[in-house]
Amino acid sequence: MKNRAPDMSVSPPRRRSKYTVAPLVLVAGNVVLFGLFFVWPAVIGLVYSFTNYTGIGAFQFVGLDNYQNLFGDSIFYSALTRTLLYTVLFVPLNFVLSLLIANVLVSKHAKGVSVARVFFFIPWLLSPIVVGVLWRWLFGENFGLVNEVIEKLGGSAVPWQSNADLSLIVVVVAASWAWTGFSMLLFIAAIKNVPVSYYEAASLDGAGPWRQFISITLPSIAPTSFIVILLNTIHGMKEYPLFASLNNGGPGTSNNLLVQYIYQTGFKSGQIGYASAASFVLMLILMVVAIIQMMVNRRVENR
Amino acid sequence: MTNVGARRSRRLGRGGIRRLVPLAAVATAGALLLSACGSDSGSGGTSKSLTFWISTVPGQDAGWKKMVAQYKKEAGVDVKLVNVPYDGYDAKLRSAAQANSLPDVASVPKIDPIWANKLIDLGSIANNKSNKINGNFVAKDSSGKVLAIPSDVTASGMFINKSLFEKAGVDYPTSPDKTWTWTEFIKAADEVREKTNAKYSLTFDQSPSRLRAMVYEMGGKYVQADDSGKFSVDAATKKAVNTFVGWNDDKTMPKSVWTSGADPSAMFQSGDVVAYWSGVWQVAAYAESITKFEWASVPTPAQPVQASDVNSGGMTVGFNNNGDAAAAAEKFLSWLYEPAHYQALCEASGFLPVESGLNPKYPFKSEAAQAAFKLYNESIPLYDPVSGYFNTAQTSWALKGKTLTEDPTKVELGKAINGQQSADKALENIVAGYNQQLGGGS
Repeated sequence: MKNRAPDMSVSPPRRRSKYTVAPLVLVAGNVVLFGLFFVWPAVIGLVYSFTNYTGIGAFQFVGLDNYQNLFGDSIFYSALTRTLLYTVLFVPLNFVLSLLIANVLVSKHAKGVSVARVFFFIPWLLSPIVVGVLWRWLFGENFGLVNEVIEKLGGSAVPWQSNADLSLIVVVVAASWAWTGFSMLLFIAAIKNVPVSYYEAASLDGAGPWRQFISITLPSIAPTSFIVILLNTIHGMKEYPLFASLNNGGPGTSNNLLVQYIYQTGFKSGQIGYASAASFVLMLILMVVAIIQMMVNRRVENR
Repeated sequence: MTNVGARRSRRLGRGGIRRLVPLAAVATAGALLLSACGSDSGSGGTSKSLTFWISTVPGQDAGWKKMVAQYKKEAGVDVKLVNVPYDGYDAKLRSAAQANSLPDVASVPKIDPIWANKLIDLGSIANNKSNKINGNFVAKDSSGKVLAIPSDVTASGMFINKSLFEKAGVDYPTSPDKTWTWTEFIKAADEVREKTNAKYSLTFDQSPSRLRAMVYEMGGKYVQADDSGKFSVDAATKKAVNTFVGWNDDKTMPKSVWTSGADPSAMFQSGDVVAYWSGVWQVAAYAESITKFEWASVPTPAQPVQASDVNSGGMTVGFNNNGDAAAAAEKFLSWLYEPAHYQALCEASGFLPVESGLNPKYPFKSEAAQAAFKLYNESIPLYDPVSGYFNTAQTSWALKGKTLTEDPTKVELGKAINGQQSADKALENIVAGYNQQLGGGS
């Protein structure tokens, strides 16, 4: 043993080399791709946001004009408000549904858990456009299955598409259906990591299932809950394809969301500079959401 | 060393990764929003291979497929046909022009100033007297260079559910010489709906072209520019647009088509809608797809103007990618517009020909489809000249470096039907959109 000590002092340089170069090599590919396809477009987008670039030809720097115009644009505020409303409806619904299903599926009394997991997860694998088409078949105002059933039962067709609020609710439900599987998987993994001994001790103390859920499960999975809320919030704020396929932002422009507004101004109207400014405002909003999440998460961890 | 490693590991384990995830997610979100769509086009062919972009509905690509296969057999040139979705086709062509990767040949909906200067002169084809190409639809620049030749001619048209009309015992005109007015048509369609318990009297494509056609027929000019290049609408247009908005009452017409993008064609094909205002290109598809009821094309209404919105179904262009490919593209198009080949294209694709003197024998088994083509071929010569205004104007705008990137008609009228604004306000906004994009000296 004594003889080994000097050897150890000689070998570290080789080890350091091995353990410092390998990770760099492994990470380099991702760093290059991330830089090329994410960082560079983001930087270019930021530059465009200070220009009058139309997507074609030369452009001029216009300073903060795009941002000034944006904050005076009622359509932008309307889209932002609708986006926030959608997110506020979608995130809690998705959270409750996925947590509920996860709890049921980790129960020792549950049967057919594997099949159920696949059943709930499949919608998440579908393209949002496919989800939109499926839900349009269900909630199409004119020939959708739900209205057909309502009319067959003697009721009147419900304006699922031509009423702005109903139209939004259909999208919220469709999005929750599609995203519940993903959140459910995260919750299942988190719940399974809670030591069984906690529940055993709680049972001995006479705590029922509801008390155990409130006092053990919820606090134990708090970090995962925050991740789920954050991911769903970011997803909600960026939603577009589901609206495009379900109601095209309608009726009229009532359900135009922020990303649709960015797409239309940028790619349809050729105002790339203006749309880039709107993109950056959206990114700043998302960053604020992320920072708040991190602060809350840290506080919960420190308790 | 070990301690440091453990400390790092613990830090990550206690929330480091969780802290990184949000930041990475946000960075990804922002970057994704700003990433432009890429172009995967292959182009810049040689004399032995060409790339040909089209954008068409199923059924109408049959002719193109047939012709490129025949050309491969006859000339040994491999023409790669790429069918691009219509939504975004303009944008894809623009991206390709910017990336210098335009196809060699394309069937385009309109000339775009972005790539207009890259077109090869098709004068030798258009001016070839044996081709008998209708010069009214050929796009030329001020020097007489032929930029594009239509692949076909299209027009808005009315489809009816013949079974429902017969069930209700309501008559409809069959000859363009004895057509009906919109008022008579709506009255008849409402009567059919009421007698047969159909859901709607009419579905109407969410399309500026279809609206233009209806406005023309009601005596309006829709949005046109005066000599100074300023756009406006006339009183007849206002009246027609107000009438159109009023029809969207969820009885005569479903609101959801113009307000939230419901599919009018699917509604008509369900068999529960009396009539459908669309275009001649639907005929090829309906010849096969509608089997649960009998349908028919009926003469377009005249109130009092007999008109439609007549367009080039597609404008065939060649791009000057390189010497070899440009020569090969022109040779291919020259071959394509030889009357025998062009007739074969029209027959297989169900095109109304831009060349006169042809007698296409469409391969439809459907009698309705055959009758529809006969009707359209009889109708088009009767249409008022206003019917071709927009088609000609588009080329004129493009040659002045302007383009109607986004026709505000759909959005503004969608808002009007949804009650967000009046029809008159919608027209004001549409005019403003035209003036913003095209106004001033056009």
